[in-house]
Amino acid sequence: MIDISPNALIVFVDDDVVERMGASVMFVDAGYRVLEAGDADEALGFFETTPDIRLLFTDVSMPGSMSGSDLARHVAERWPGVGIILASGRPRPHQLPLNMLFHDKPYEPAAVLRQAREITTQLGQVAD
Amino acid sequence: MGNLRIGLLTLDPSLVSRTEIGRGGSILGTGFREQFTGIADAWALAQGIVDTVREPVLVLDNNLRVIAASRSFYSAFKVSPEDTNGRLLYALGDGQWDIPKLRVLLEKIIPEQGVMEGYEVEHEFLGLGSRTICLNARQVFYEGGAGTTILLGMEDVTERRILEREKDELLRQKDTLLEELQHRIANSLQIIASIILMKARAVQSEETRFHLEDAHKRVLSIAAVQRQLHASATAGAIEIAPYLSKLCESLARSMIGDTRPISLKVIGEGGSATSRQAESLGLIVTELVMNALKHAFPDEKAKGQITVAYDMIGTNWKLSISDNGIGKPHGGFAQPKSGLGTGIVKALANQLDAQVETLSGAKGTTVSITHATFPTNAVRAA
Repeated sequence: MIDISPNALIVFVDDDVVERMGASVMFVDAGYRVLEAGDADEALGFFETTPDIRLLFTDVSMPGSMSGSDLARHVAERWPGVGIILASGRPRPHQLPLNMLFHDKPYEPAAVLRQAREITTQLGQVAD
Repeated sequence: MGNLRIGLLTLDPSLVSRTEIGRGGSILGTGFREQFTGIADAWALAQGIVDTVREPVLVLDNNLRVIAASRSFYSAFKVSPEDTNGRLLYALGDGQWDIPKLRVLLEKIIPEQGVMEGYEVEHEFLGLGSRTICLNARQVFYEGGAGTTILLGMEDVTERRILEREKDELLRQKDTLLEELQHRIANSLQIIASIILMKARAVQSEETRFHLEDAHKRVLSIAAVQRQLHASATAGAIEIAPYLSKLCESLARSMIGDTRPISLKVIGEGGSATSRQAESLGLIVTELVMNALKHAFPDEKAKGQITVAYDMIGTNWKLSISDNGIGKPHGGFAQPKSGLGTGIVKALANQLDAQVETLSGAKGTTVSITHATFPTNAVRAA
C-alpha cells in the first residue's frame, strides 16, 4: 500500500469461515490487525476485553442471539468511538441508522478499505 | 288486477300466465299464497326464479318469516322444506341463523337502504362447520302497499376465500424464497470474490495477479447487474433508464472510487426490456465502462467523462458508451492483450441481435450497440 500502515485493530464478524479468511487477508494486507468472530457474542467478547478496537465490520444476517444490525447498534451505544461498517447479501436493513455505512455483498474491497482508512484516521485524530 | 312490481321490473300478468314454471312442484309458504291469491301465475314465476338460481335464496316477509326458499337453500344448508317454510328466519335450524351481523343487515341496513350487496358473514353452521357467506339482500315493494318482502341471496364463498388466502400466502412465500435465493447468490459471489482475491495476493506473477484481479472485478460487476435487476424486476419488464442509472452508480462507486476524477453518467430516453435482455445490456455496459476506465485515461489525475446512452424507437434501440479519453490510434476496440472484453461484448450483442460499432479518435472512443429490426426481419421473411 502507498498509504501509511494504519495498524488499527478491526473486529470482523461473519458466520462464513472462508469469508473471514478473505476479509482478514484484505485488512492485514492493508496494514490492519484483525480479530475474527463467527457471531455477535464472540465479537462482543472481543469488545469487552480489548480496549483499542477502532472498527467493527460485520455481516448483517448471522445465526445466534444477535443479528449484525443488533450488534452494530449495541456497539454504537456502548463504544461510541468505534467505527461501524455493515455488509449483506440482502438489501440495506430499513431500521439501520443512516450514519452507519453499508455495503452490498459482494463488496468492493477498495471501497471498504477506503472507508476503513477514513474511519480509523479520523478516530485516531480524535483520540490524539 | 294491477301489475306486480318487483324492484324496477314490471310484470304484465298476461305475460306471466304464459310462463308456467315449476308450478306443480312449488313449495311456497302459505303467507305468500294468501297475499297474492289470484295471481298464482306470478308466484309460480317467482318460485321458478327462486328455484332456478344456483345460489341459495330466501324470500322473507316483513316479519322475517320464510315465504319461499330455493331448492339450493335446502341442499346447501341440509334442511327440509317442512322445517323452513313459514318459520321465522332466526328460529331456523335451532337458531343457527340468529347471527348478530345478519340481524344488522336485515333489521337496520335493509330497512334504511333497501339493497345490500356483497355483505360477508362468517358463521359456524350445523353440520357444515365454519362458512363464509356472501349475502345479497333486496327489499321488494308492491304496488297497492301489500307489505314488503326481502329477497336474500346467499353465496358460500368459503372455498374462494380460502383459495385467495392460500394464493396470497403462496405469493408471500415466493417473495421470501426469491429474497432468500438472492441472498444466497450474493453470499456465494462474495465467497468466490474473496477466494479469487486471496489467490491474487498469493501469486508471484504480476500477470497472473492482473488476471485474477480482473476476474474479481467481473464477479463484482455480475453481482451489481443481478442486484439492479432484482431491484427493478417487479412486473417482468425492466425500465432501462433507471436500471442503467442505478447500475452505473454502483459501478462508479466500486470501479472509480473517490480518487480518480472521472464521472459516469447515463442519458437517453430509455425504454423497457425483458430481464434477460436487460441482463445482457447491463453486462455490456459493465464491460465497456471497465474497458474505458482501464484504457482511456492513463493519467490517474486526468478529468474524464464516460457517458452511457440508451434510446429506443419502436422495437429498435441503440446503446452507446462513450469516453473523452485518449482513444485508440488504430481505432481498435481494446488492447489486443485483453481481447476477452471484446469477445464478451460481441457475444452479448449477438444474443441481442445487435451490431457492435467502435469509433475511436483523438477525442475519445464511442462503442455503439445497435438493434435495428427491419433489415433482419426482411431477410427472415424472404
